[in-house]
Amino acid sequence: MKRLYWVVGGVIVGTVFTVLFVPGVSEYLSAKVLTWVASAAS
Amino acid sequence: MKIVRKLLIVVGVLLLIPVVAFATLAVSARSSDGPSGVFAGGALVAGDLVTGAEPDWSFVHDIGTIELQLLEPPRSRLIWVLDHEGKAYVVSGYMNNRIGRIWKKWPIEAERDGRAVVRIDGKRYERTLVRLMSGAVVEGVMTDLSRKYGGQTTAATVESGGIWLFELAPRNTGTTGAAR
Repeated sequence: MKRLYWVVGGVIVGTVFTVLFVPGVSEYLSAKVLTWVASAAS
Repeated sequence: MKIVRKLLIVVGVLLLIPVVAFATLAVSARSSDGPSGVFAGGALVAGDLVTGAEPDWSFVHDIGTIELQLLEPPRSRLIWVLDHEGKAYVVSGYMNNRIGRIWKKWPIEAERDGRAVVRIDGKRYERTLVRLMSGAVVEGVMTDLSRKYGGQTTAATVESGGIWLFELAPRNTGTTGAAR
């Protein structure tokens, strides 16, 4: 169980750092969200 | 049983990744100077504040999006911009359906308090958002909207509340965000 916590923690930290510091990731995700929301709303 | 449990854990961790990614984007955008794509940003701080004579807003003719910040609440977002007869306008679509109403809070906030700041090409302009619901200008702006961004929008869509149209009026006109 303790190992699971470490894995989940690692995934969260890794994802946060990837989104914040890897160039292009935030722009890609923003575009995805915009596409989803616009298609759902139309 | 053990395999099912492990499978559920893997699926849970995989689902966690997009949730954390979007939450990170949303939180980081809130504290930044301006919006990040679809996520609302903080107050527009950088850029010279343009004062003096009212500009001819036809310069936004070829600009796709501008940054718009309301004073209350001080959050910013990217938004389409239109010019018509020297004045500037912004629109918000999808206002007649549930997802649109969840997604688009700013038009309702702008109707309560229309004081806003827009940033275009690094320059900031103090404005008042004034909602337009009918009149000859609405027809003209909707024609420009169709031409610039595609789609078939008419004044009837604005009159029915499907699209909310705001004029970026000067701040010192004494107007509020109320409709006219």
